[in-house]
Amino acid sequence: MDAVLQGLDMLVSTPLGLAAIAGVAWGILGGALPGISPSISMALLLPFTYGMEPNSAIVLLASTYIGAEYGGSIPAILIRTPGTNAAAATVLDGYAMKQQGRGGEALGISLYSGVIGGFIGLLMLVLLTRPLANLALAFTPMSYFALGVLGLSVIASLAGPSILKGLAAGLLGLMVATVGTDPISGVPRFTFGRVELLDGIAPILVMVGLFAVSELFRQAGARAWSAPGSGATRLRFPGGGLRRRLVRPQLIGTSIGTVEGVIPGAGGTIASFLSYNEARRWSRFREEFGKGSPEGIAAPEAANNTVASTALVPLLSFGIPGSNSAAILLGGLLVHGLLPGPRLFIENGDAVIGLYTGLFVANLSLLALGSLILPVCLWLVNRSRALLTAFIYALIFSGIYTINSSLFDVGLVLAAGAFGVLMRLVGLPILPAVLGVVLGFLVESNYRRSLLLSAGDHSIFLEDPIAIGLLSAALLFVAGSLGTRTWLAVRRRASAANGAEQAQ
Amino acid sequence: MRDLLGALILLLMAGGYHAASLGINRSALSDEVGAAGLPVVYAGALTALALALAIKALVSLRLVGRPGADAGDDLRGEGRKLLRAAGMLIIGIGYIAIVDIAGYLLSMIAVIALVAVYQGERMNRRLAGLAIGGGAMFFIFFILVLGIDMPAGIWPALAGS
Repeated sequence: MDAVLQGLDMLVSTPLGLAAIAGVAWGILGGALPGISPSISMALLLPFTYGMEPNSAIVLLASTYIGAEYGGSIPAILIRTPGTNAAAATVLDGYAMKQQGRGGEALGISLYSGVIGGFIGLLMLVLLTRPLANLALAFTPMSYFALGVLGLSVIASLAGPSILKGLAAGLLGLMVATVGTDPISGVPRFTFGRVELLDGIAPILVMVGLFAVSELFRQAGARAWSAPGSGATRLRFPGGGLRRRLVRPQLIGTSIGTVEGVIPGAGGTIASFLSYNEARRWSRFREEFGKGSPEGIAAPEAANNTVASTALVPLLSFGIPGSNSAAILLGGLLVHGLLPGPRLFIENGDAVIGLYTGLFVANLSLLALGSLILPVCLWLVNRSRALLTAFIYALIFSGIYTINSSLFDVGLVLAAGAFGVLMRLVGLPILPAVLGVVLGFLVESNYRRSLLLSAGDHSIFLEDPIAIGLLSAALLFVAGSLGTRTWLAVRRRASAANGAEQAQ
Repeated sequence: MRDLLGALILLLMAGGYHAASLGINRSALSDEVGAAGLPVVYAGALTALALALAIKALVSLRLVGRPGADAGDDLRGEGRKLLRAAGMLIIGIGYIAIVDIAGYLLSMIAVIALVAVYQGERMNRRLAGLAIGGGAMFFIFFILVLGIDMPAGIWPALAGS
């Protein structure tokens, strides 16, 4: 009850509510533009949070994530181009409804289900985070090292089709994290005589470069998206009968979204496709799926909006971001000196309450902003991709410069963007690399602190039960993923060979 | 082919990183691991992963039995995309090079116009207006509203002389 009162007090006395509303509005606009994912929308905003009061800055970023998840469904429904990866499942029935002249109804179902998913996700976040964080109170330097290794292993295993590439990307991130002054001896490493590198490469620069700039570079030769035209599309919320029909797919979506959000690396895209499939399996109107079923929109939208909140559970509890967007939010927390984990709840309890309150306001305001901002989204989607890219590029240059008034930072972001293009070219996933940069300090400093405690004896890691558990889990995870993928590949080859034999 | 290229890039990075890590000074304050300890381990691990990726790529190319001539299929068209991306990078580098001379406002106008033209917009009065308007918008927001000390260029010095 005290927390609720504190949250209400924050709403009145700080710009928390305003930050939530602004974040949702920015997120919807970003999500509505194909190619601008939630993480890119957040990364573009990140430099501007430097000068902000910490609570409002975190709420602004988290609300952007929520807004973007709904925003992604707008082009998915109107122009058959998902604005975000997680909205890809919404295309299937959303665009079919649009073709039947029911685009406004489809948008209404998406928004309504998204808000329900958002509130249930928030409830799960509040219920699950604190108990998990309490576990981390017993952590030693050895446990923290093992936690960093586990986080990297899980993300590297799940972030792409190849575990080798995932691990390599994670290592690249760890290598970037070694740039700067050594945390123990103070010796400069990889600075090449540049004073700007003595403090290391800030994760924010890597995030903006790898997520936003590399995407702009990659889209430089892409075709323009098709415009929805200037015809009016008015958002229409579902009526009583339809609302009752949507309860089941929404329940499926929120349940799957809760589980997938809590598992690092799973994310909204998997959750929305799984929910779509399950909703079809349990529907009484199965034949409508793919031809404009309202349930086919409700399930994935409820799922990906649930994930927007539950993905914060591993982040707030252990400091392990489970998705690109959560990694950006972690960057925001670190910028303001807020370290996720149990200490966050003890030392910065108001930041956690502020975040919960902000997310509540964000979900509430999504309901109103979703319809209010739709004409602006339509206007934006009708603009040329070339102009939008030009303005976003200019915004990145300006935003990055504001952090340290340094053109060197702008250069680092461009370099990270160029490297991101190479990574995408050869199929190296971005998230493990970003996570490596973020967790690099945690991994190295705790590894070396542990060895200082044991006078260089590595067996100290085998004396700490939590470290043993976490390192074993990391090993099992990598070995399990490797085994499963190898087995699947062998099976695929065998069935392909059988098919070829039968054809002969 | 994509995996082989990836393995090659990773090997080069591991080699370069390892070479640079050999130049890290030892300190009397250092622990047993030392400032270069983990970088050397990271370089070794990346080399091992790159070699594993290369072997896997070679084995799968052999298993699929694709002739060498088709081996680059999965990279077809990527060269053009890379060139397009390089153009964007050059505009960015150009911005860094000129902003201290031309100042923030003019540089923003140039970036907006150049990127838009590079992405396929036609240079005409409308685009010029949009670029000037956009530059002015950024100028007002960052310098006048946020009070950020953006590069002023040579103009204040010229005005003073």
